[in-house]
Amino acid sequence: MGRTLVSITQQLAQAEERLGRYRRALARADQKIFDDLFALARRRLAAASMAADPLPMQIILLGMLIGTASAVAGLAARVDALEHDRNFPPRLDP
Amino acid sequence: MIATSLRAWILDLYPGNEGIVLWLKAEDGRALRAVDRFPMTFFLAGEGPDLRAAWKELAGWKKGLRLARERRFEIHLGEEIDLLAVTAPDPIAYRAAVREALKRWPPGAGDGTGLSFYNADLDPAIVYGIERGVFPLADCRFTLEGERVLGVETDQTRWDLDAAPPPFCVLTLRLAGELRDPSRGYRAPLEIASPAGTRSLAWDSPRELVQTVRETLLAADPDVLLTAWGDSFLLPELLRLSSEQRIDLPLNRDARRDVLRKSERSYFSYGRIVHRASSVWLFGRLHIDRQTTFLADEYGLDGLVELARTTLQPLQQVARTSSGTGISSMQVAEAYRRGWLIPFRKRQPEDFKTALELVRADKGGLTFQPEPGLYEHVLELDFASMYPSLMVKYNLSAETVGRPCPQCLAGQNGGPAVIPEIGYPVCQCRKGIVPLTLEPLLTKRLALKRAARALPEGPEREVLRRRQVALKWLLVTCFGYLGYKNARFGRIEAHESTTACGRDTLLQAKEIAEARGYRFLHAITDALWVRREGSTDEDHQALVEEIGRTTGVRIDIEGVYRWLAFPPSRQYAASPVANRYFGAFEDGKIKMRGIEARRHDTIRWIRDAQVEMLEILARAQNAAEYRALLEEEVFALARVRLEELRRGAVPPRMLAICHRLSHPPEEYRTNLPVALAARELAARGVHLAPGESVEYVLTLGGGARPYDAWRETDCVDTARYRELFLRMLESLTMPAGLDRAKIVARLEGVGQEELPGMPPRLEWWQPGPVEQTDPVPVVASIREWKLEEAIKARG
Repeated sequence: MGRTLVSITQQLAQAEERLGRYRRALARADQKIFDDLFALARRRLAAASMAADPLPMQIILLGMLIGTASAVAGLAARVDALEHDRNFPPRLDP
Repeated sequence: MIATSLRAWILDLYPGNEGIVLWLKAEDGRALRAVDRFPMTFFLAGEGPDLRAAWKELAGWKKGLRLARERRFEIHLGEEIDLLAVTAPDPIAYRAAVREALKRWPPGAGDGTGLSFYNADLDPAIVYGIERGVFPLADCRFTLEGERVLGVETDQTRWDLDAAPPPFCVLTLRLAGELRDPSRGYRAPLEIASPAGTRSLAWDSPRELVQTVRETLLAADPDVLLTAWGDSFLLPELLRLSSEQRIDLPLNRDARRDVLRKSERSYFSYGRIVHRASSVWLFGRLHIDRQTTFLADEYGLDGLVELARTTLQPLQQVARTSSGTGISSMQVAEAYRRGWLIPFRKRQPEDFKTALELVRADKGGLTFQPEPGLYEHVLELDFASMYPSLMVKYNLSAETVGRPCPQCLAGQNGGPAVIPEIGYPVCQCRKGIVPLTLEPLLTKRLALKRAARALPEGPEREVLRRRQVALKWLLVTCFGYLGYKNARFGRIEAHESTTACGRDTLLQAKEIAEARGYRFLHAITDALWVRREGSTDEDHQALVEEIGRTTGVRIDIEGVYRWLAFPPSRQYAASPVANRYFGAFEDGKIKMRGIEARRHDTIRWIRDAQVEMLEILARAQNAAEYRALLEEEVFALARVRLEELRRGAVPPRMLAICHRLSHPPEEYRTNLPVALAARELAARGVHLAPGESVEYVLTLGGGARPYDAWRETDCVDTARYRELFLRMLESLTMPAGLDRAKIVARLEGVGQEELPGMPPRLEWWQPGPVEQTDPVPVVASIREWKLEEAIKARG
């Protein structure tokens, strides 16, 4: 399109590439989480593009945070539902 | 000489020495030549003394030029300016005078003269159409005196819906058998089909061949010569043989003109290299090569006729130019009709912006990535011609964006419109040239679509469909032309405003859908996919009505999918790819985008297999049936196809990979299959230019053989084709949770274990509350963050 600037999609790919050595030094299990975090950010690219922030990395991190918080909220809802359905006994004091 | 009156269609028109030469198709079927005297004018603008000096000099040129002072409206300045009008007696003299004037006063030469040129590169055919109120293929009444046109009028307009095309007499020329490029060495008898019948002619008796073509041309006297590879091979070859055999070949009707040949060229467009074949233009007869015609397969001759009429370009030109040229011609026509000046080589630098403003403005359409998987009961909504509609709605044009006029600033007409997100003010007092051009086009396309919908399935409906598709391409291009630096009426700020309005419109639609309880699955620029458990047709209707009302842009229901699949990206398994999906509507119709069967670079064997598989899957009413059909029928079909490959029963034609060359063959440094094939063709004397395609078949040992050089003894590399096949199959199975290992297990006939039910799903992307209104989407996730696994791995 003859654009002047690098699009947010490219910026995210570049950020991931820049962190390649960081990722390499992570434990294998953490590498997987690293990839999943970037997947969470990638799913929120439309919002990142609307943010038009001069520092894209902070928007990428925000995307990861929202994704994680959303997952936690999902889990909390599931836990609530399970406790409610199965009539979990009240938690015992230690 | 007595004046005669005649009803006729304008078949073709081009500039000649005496004026505009017209070829008319009379009611009784005769074709005749007519000439209309037609002076043409260009303008010079500048400081008074410079204009006076230019006047003096031009007066001495003695080329029959008429000089006059005029004032006309300059759209970029927003006011009328003083001009020197230079009128040449005919279009040829006009071009010569412009050429000479440009040499004498080069624009932007910096020698202090500072003259600007206007209306200096107009297409005579288009200007003629505007001046006389006619257009190519219009049904007109002519008053003639011999060949001389005394008057012409028509009741038709470019915007008529029910204009029947002229009764063309068509002659087709092609090689017999399958459509294959003869310049790669393929030969088959020449097939010539006229209303009198079809004949097949051998190339090894050239004298007889040329003689027969000549006789057929003379007997049929066709208006249209429809060819396959006529531009690059058939007509050049026939002309060569005709001069070799000294037999005159009357390809032109106009005996005063020679056939015009334009050479091939390669150029960059949208980041890839494009090749335009050489072309052969006829005079008085229309040569259309279906192989070089832009999107010929999509809209055919009906679409071309529609384009010629609306864009005012003669048919041969329309068949060989892109829709960008079409929209550009329409803008020129609109400006000319209003007497506005048409800038020559525009000098419109980009406005100054701060870095932050650039970050905000320099963006395209909005894309919401879908979550890979298989979904049920999905509603697809499409904005109708979103960008053109927004240009009309907001009055977006080079001369209006960021240029509010004084009346506008004083608050007239509600003051300037302000573009969302980027804040450019847009003048609302004066309609811009871009909206003025687009408005009738949008109206016509919508009317054609409606008329088509009102008809039953059949040839009449198909004609209307083709006509509206041709117009669609004009509308699609008009947006790109706003930002194209060489477009006369383009300006980057207008382009940015269009995408900003588009993003805002899409976000409004998203907000409305979510407020009505829909879950937002995916959106690209002007289309969105949403779902809500148990939503009805009435709910959907209410949704589009609210979106249309709020955004001011028409939005249509494309359909409701029984199931819709978003395959994951090959690069990032947890991420999808925008605009890659397939699904079955409620009526069983399949829609697919971006998957193998839709891609031009997919080989036929794979494309056919995928289409066949999708036809099976189209029977599925829901995700569970989709999975069952995969297991019961699709894998069985896959086994049959792979077995055929293994046995060598797949013809090489089905395995030929089509690849566009990015370099000339000798410049490839690697041994990629395409390089191997291109080099072999080049060694066989085939001329290949960047942007042209080569077809090759993968052979054993990592090799590749051009399809045109295939030998019986060549061995197909079945392993590489099997790999391509499995990838295609993955597109269909991955959304249902079957990855490569599971596919391979099923193809070997092992591991036919019961498909596990839906895995318990962690909703990473949906916060709790929304999930409660829209419980458990029918999604088989490809890859989830398995928390348990992660914890275990850490110890």
